[in-house]
Amino acid sequence: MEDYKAVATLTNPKESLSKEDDIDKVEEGYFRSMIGCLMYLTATRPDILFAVSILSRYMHYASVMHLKDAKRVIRYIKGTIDFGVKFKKCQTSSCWDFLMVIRVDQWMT
Amino acid sequence: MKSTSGYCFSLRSGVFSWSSKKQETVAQSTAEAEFITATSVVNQALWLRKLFCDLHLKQQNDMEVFVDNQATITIFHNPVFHGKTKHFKIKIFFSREVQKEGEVSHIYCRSEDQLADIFIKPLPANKFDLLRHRLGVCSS
Repeated sequence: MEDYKAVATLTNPKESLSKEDDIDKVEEGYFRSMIGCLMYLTATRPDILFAVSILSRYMHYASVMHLKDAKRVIRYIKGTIDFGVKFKKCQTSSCWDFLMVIRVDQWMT
Repeated sequence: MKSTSGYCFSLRSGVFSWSSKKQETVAQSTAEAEFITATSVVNQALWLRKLFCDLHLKQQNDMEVFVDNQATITIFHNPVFHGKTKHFKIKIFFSREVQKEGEVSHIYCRSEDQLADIFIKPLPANKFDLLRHRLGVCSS
């Protein structure tokens, strides 16, 4: 995997994952440990959270397609290896000015 | 088909608490799906406020929640019995109670300005980069 080229985006918005029967399955333990490692990384990288949470839904039924997507996430991380959440010094006194956003949408699973 | 809830809490320049989860119940409308998310956000907000209070950093004013669905905000503000909300579970009305007490306030924001989009759907490259930057994720 060291030879993999980095990619700019995590997922292809046009392709959606699904549970398909006719595609080759991959070894469950391998896929599970891969997702486990990625989930650990979501603690510091909110940008990969969505892609990882989608992939984790197929842990019991992972096919080569899902593995390909998981590897794409790893390739994305390769290109953004030094990224993290940056906190800058606050100018005003009221630092606890929380901003919170929510959003929900339908997403085929 | 179930929806995905996504939210994040930020301290100006960067986010410090985020979540993206598949909902437990099947929502029958967008407003309902948003309402379910709003409830989980309120729970997290209450916990954070308590946590900051323990750290002697009490937040004086209410916490602002940015929602991109007008219907959800209307349900929060208007207790009138509504045909679309009659099947809602009682527990999700907890968030209304919290809002009445002044712990949180819901503010409308446009879909384009919604930061939490990154947690709920695959985005095109330019939008993804923009939202990632706004989350505070950048190279060290």
